[in-house]
Amino acid sequence: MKLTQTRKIYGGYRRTNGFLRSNAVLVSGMALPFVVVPTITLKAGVAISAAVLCSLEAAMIVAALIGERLPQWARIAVSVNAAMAAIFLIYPLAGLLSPQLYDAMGIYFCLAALNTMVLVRTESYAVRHTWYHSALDGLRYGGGFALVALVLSAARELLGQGTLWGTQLLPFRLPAVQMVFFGFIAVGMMAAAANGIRRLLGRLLWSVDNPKPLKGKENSLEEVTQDA
Amino acid sequence: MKLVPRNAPHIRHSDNSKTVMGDMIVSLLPLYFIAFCYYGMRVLVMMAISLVVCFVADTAGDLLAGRGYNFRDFSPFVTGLLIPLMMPATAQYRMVVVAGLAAILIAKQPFGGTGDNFFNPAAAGIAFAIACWPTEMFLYPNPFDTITVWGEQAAQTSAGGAFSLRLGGIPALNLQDMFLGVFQGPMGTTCVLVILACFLYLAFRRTIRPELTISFLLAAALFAFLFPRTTAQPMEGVLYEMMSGTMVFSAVFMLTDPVTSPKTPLACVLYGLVAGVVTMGFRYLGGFEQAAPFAILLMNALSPLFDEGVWRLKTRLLKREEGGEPDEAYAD
Repeated sequence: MKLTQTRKIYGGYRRTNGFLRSNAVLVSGMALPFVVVPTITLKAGVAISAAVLCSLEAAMIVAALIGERLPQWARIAVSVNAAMAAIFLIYPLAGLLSPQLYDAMGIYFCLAALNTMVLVRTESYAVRHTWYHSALDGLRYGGGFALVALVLSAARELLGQGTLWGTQLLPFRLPAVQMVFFGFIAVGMMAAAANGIRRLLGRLLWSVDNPKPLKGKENSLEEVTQDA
Repeated sequence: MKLVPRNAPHIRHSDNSKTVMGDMIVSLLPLYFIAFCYYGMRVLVMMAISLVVCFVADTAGDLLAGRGYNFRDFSPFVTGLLIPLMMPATAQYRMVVVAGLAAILIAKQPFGGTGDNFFNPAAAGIAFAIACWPTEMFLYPNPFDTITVWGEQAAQTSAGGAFSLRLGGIPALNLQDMFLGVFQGPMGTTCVLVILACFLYLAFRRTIRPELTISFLLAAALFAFLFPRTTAQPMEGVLYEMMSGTMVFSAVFMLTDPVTSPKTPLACVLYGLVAGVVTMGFRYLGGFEQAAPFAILLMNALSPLFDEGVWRLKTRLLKREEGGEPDEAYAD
């Protein structure tokens, strides 16, 4: 069995931890309310993605700089305050995208400072790594969240209102798509689709490394012992 | 002696999925006949569209999941027949398509397909359509009005009897018309006479559990008797509540889904009683006049609890009476 291509690609794939591999939302199930409730339009998806990304970055960097110098309860409090400060700084972004976004997103914009990713990644990763690696990790996990939120918000705006970024594209609307229950259903389907794609790609890679033998050359000892 | 080799299982019940779904299809066809007499060809077009959408979606889901196509599985056809019957005859075709897709792709296939779904697909599809089009789903044409098959609808539509009850009024109908379905309402749920005949057929064939339907209607009737919404005579008010909307239809065709309903007789009775109360509660306090699909979805989620509760009750009673071991058939 050969694994040349598989090893080569899997090495790079491992570096996408949180983004593609072990996606923060689809695999780890983190920050689900933030990806389900406010993502009813693409603008809202952009705003919530920016909020989560900035808050996560700030919390990861601060947690890495503090390290284990403070006890856990104090560390978490400081990290969350850093996340909230980042949210405060990008708050005007929501107003730039759309004046109605504040009302549409409600409390979720500010609550992004307390999302699961901030609490989990700061404690499990940032306190034991350098600020540089923690920032990269925050970027990966925040990027994974943003990937899911943007796809979901675009789909929900397109199906729910027939528009994309305010431009009318479809002649019909399905208002039920913008309700919360459909958000949960959509995230579940996306998780299943992502899992299916990952398995399909794995099988394709394996078939590239191990193509079907030509007729008459089955059970060739050379094939079996090569690159063992 | 001629020996015929067959695969296991070698002891088979006379009923299987094909016979159960076949009976359901046979019992739904008279409703389409009545709807065709009242509303014309559009009924059959809606039926055809729903059947095609549900069949294609179910087959696509089965193939995607690697299960393969089962030509003996008639369940998507049952779902496809149920959905248009709960819609107005003037419903747009895209509403039928969306309801069918939601029923199969959201409520059935993600949970494992036929036999593994938690929720009744038809109830989920109708609930989704109501959430998408809350106004259009509750505007009904008059029976015997001309309804165009394609293009703009010229038929006059108005709210049904359930809307009048919701406002505390009495529907401007006599009970005979309500019993025969000659009034504005969903095209397949108004003719209570035919629905009751279908119920007797299904109960006689043992396709459905009659205790589910009877307990549901009794609980709903008692609720309507004790807490009337109208100023009509108590028994008249009960009959108005029962025969408006999709109450009787849901009790016969959706509540009795063999996959999503409880399995033991006592659990079925309790399930029906609670479902009746929940349905009336949704009717009185909910946002939509058609409450049965939503109540059935909620009860589907609680269905295993009824079987579990009855088993635990029987276990305790057995232990208390004789100190004996519980019945192994219920132990799981």
